[in-house]
Amino acid sequence: MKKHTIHASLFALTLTLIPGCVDNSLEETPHDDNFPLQLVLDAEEGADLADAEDYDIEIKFADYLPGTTLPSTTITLDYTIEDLAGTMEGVVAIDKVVYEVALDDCTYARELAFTASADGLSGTITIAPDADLGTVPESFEVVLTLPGAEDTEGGFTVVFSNLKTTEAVLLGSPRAFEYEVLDNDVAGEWELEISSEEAFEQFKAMFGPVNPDLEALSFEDITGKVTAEFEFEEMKFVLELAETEEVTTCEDGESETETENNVIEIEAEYDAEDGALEFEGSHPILGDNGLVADELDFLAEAEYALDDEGETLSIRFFTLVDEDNFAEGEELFRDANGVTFMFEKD
Amino acid sequence: MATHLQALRHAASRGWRPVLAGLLLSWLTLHALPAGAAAAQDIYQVRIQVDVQNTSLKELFTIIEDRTDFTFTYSSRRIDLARRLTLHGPYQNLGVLLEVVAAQANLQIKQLDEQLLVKAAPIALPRAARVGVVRGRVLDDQLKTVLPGATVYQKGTSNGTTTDVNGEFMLRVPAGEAEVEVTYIGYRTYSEMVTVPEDGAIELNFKMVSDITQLQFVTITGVLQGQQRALNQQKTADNIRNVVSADQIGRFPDPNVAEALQRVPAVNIERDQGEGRYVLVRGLAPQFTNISINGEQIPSPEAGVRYVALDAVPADQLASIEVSKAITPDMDGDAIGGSVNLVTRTAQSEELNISSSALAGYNNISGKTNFQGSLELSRRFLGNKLGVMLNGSYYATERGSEDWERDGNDLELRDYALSRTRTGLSSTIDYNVNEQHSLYFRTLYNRFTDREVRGRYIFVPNADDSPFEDNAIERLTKDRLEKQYVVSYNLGAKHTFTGFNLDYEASFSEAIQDTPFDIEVGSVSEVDQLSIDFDSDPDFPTITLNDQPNAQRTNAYLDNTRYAFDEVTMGNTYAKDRNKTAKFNVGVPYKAGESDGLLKFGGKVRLKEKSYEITENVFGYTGANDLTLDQYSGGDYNKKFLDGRYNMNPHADSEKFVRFFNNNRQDFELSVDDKLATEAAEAYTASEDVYAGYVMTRIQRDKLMLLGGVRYEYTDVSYTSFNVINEEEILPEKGGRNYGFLLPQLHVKYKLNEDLNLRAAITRSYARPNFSDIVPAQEININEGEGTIGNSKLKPVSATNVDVLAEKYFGTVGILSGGVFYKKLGDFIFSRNFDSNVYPGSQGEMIRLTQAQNGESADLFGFEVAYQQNLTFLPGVLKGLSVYANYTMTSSNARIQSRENPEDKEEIRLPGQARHMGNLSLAYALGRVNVRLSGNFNGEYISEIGGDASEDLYVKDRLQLDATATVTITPRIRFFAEFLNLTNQPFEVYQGNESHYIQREFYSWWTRAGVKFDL
Repeated sequence: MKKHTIHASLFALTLTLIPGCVDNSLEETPHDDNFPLQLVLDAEEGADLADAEDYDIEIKFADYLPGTTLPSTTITLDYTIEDLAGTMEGVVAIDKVVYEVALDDCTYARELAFTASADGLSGTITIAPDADLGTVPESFEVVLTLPGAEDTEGGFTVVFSNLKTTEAVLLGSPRAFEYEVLDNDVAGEWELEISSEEAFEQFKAMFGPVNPDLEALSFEDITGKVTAEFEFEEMKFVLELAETEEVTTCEDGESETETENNVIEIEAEYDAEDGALEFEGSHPILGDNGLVADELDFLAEAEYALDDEGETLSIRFFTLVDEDNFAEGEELFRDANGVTFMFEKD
Repeated sequence: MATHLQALRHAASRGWRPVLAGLLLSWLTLHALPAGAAAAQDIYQVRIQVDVQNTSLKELFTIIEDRTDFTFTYSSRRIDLARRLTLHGPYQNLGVLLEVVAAQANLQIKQLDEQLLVKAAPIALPRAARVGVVRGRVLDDQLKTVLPGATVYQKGTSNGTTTDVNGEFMLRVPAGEAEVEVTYIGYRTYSEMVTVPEDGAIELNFKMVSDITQLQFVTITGVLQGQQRALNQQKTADNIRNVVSADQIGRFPDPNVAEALQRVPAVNIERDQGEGRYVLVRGLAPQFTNISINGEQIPSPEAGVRYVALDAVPADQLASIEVSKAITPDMDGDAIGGSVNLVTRTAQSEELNISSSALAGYNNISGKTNFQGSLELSRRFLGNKLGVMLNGSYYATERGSEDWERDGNDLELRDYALSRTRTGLSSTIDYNVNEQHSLYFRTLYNRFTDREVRGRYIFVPNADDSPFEDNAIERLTKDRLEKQYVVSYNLGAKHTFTGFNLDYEASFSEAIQDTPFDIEVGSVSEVDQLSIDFDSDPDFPTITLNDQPNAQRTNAYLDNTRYAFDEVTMGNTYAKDRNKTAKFNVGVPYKAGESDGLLKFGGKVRLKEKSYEITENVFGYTGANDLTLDQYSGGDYNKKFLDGRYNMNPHADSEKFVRFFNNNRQDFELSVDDKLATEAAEAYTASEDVYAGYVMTRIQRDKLMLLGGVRYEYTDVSYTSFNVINEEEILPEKGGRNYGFLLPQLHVKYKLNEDLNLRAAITRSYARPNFSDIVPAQEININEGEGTIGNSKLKPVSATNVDVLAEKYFGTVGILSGGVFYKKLGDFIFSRNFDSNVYPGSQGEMIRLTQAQNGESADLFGFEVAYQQNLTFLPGVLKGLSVYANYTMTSSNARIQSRENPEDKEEIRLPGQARHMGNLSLAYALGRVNVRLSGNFNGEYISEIGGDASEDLYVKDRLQLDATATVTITPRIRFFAEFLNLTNQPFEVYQGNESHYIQREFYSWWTRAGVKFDL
């Protein structure tokens, strides 16, 4: 028995000593404690009207930790323009690569060098440190040349790759940008003239619930001019106010002061298809202290129609709801017959 | 009972008289006998023979006056003439006879011519030349094991002591011959005449014989010994205390300290994954209980709190666990609920002692085995002077749980898989320089690792049919490793000097919680139709998804290709809590009339540093290619979740995902603002210095023991942290405060007879706030008009505690006890909402702040009864039955700011306070076999206070049944098997009312079997 007990004791001792070997750790630990800077495209797709003559692709350093400095040595980045379709072939190429530097309350536009192949479909962008900044710019725009014709169609893809640097910088995602001609019915700029107090009250009833500034206005406060700008997936209504202010801008060392009307903007994403138009955006909720306490998504449903010439856009709004007010009877705006606004091509 | 109380009151009144008299006379110079005689004959020249039995002092004086020319002069108000004495000659002369009389009756007798002046002896140090020390240990004669809690008395006097956890005692007696008597429940009373040297010490081991005549049907086992030890320590303790001895822990299938404690009356536990973790004493939350090792507080490895997760401590390391429900002045004062002291082991014998165990078991949910082993070596060397004890234990278990939770209309299924290990290493080296001086050095190392993989399905139906939401299913898989370390080193010494005892200790302890990785991968899918029915079967809600029930294997939620990657959270945390402590205690024994007393005082300094660091990185995916769950799922998952009511498919495999992440680092973008805000809001450093001093006295007069004193604790705290404003602006913050507490304590113990104690205590104590409440970190969102702020000015909760308890011990190793307790809590801490424009970065804006604040008072009342007995009085085979039962009822109300109207008050139950809790355990011993069925009941309690009463969260009552079978081959070799949670009792939480479950977590059953040796 004693022998067995000694064996059992040795077994117990072995059990006691093995914990050092058992740690339950991961076989591969995440590399999440280093934060290389990432150079990324601002968007992975975009579009513009057929007659657009150029298009800007923004490239920027993604969110980086405070205290991190941008690279102070030159970075190179290769690009190719691929999948050219429609009338894009033989036209699309990089025109220039630009960035802005703010110095002494003035903005200066500067360019980065790039090299391009003979057909312009590939090349290298040289992101050099700016003499004033001491680092490379935080963002820059690649300006592409487009056909600029009314009948432009098709699209292309710009792919960035092969980032070369001696510093801790990665080429992040997205790394490819797809461009196409914006061809929905409502694309472009339209103008609405609000000429009566009744029309303004209708406009306010529709959009006031999602814009506290608009809600506070009266007919006398506006000029009556409202523009609707429909771009790629996004649009905005711009309501011009009677109130003006002097705006001073300074570009490339030249300062200019102009008197401009103040505006109220209501932005939304939109979807226009087969006469149905849907707006989706967000609006601020003010707290008791008058500050923005929260933001709620809103949704507006409407119908649209174009006249034969495509010069007049009629939009009939039926409902406006937000996340807290969407049940029947609780809508921010509801009119079974709809409220119609007529926009003219700008 | 009324008679007993009257006797108690009378005894108390009598007991204090000599103390006061002694104090008044203490200025008198101690005159030694014999005094110089003038004309009269020297008393040492007068031959006399007196042999009296149980004769009063007055009668004795008369006898002496009749036989000699001497006359006694005394004040009958100061001398207890009724005191009865027994004198057995022969005595050489009158001087020697009077010395014996003076010693027995605690008198001073001085000769003045033919007058014999008699005075009560003043309270003063016994004269060095007349006092000696008996020290040693009390042992079981058969097993040679030590017997803690034995009563060691100088027979015929109230001069006595009790053995400590190592069975050791130290008793001061007048030099010369003395009869020492030792009593111990379950053992025959033992007495021995000893000759004590003047100004010296003798060392003796008293060997006790088990009283097997009453227990002949039952084989004496370690289990029974455990009961004996625990009950003896409990019986002889000065304060109200429960003791769980190491052997006793073996009675129940409790693998860790927390679970062992759940068997103690008025103690319940909070569990984590079915295993006990935190201890709640008398219905008070864990922060109200002080946890210490060998009398020194353990720092908490967890950030933000002070209490210690006791599942990190293997029970095998300990000699005993003591739960003091009323503290004494020599104990730390921050213990309102009670004080739990874990006592480690010490070498006892000059023979090499080897104790070991080897176990293996099975967990039904994980389907995996668990292992446990322990080894302890101990031996005393150099003629018993040097003791060395080394102890190591290791426990590894693979567990799991099945859980569903409800949040509003959402249903969550949680599949847990856990790998836990517990490693304990401890050592004690003690060295007895001689009979009067000893040193010790104790080390303790605990390591607890907990790897948790948690796969979650969260079903989020668009219950309101909102155009802004979809029916969504979220899949979240968390994989984290948590490592907790507790290390402590204690170096100390004990000295017995002429007239006083001194002990002191310096200790260093550190607790760390290191979470080296904590990864949660999130994926999400949208479905056309999703509805959840919580009402038809409240126990198990049903899901209908795309018109298919949840049990259908083809249900769309099981298709991992539908889940797109959402985000991954990766991080690590490191919490550290370090204590440096130094303390000393001085004990001065004294005589006050016929009473034996001990004056004790001491001081303590504890310097604490606590810090918390956190890294939390949330990454989104920006890659061009679709990333779906099927690309990174894998590994084990529960294939029969909740008995097959719900199906599951593989969860995200963190290892697989991490490889993808590392290889595609450029496709993951960090959320910088979230990282900065989270890390700043939670990280802090704190220092807390505590200075304490106390003075107390313990006095024993016949059956009455009084212990009273006062303790003062001064605390100086400072913190550094950050304020996070609008999730963007981060400002450094500092804070601190200091406070002092004067804590008077009074304990009374009256021994109605040898087996019946009455106890009462009135004590003051307090509880320091959790660090998470006092660190002045602030998270303010001005725009949203709300914020959470720390409160560095938060005061500790103070308490006045009243306890009354009666305990009846049975010779057959048992106890029946019952008592009531009441606690009045002041400055109760609760979470308060209020409007303010005074806070960092306020910019004059008024916002709604939430802050822990001191509130009104709270009351807690309860009573407890406990009964345990070996039913050896039953006939025949029924003698083998034994019962262990206890029940505690508590009731509380705390007054807080009304949640309905901030201007009003509201009364609530204290969080954590269960109205009913108890244990019932039935065992049957037949020869060498012992089987036991144990039930542990925890009544429902509030776990979280909600925005209003309907949002309060309650943990539902829970009854767990466990079974144990032990076969004792010899008293030193035992085979045993344990089965836990036989009825698969879930952990259940409901909100507002019992029909609204928000959590039901199941652990199934698990088992262990193995062998234990004591060589």
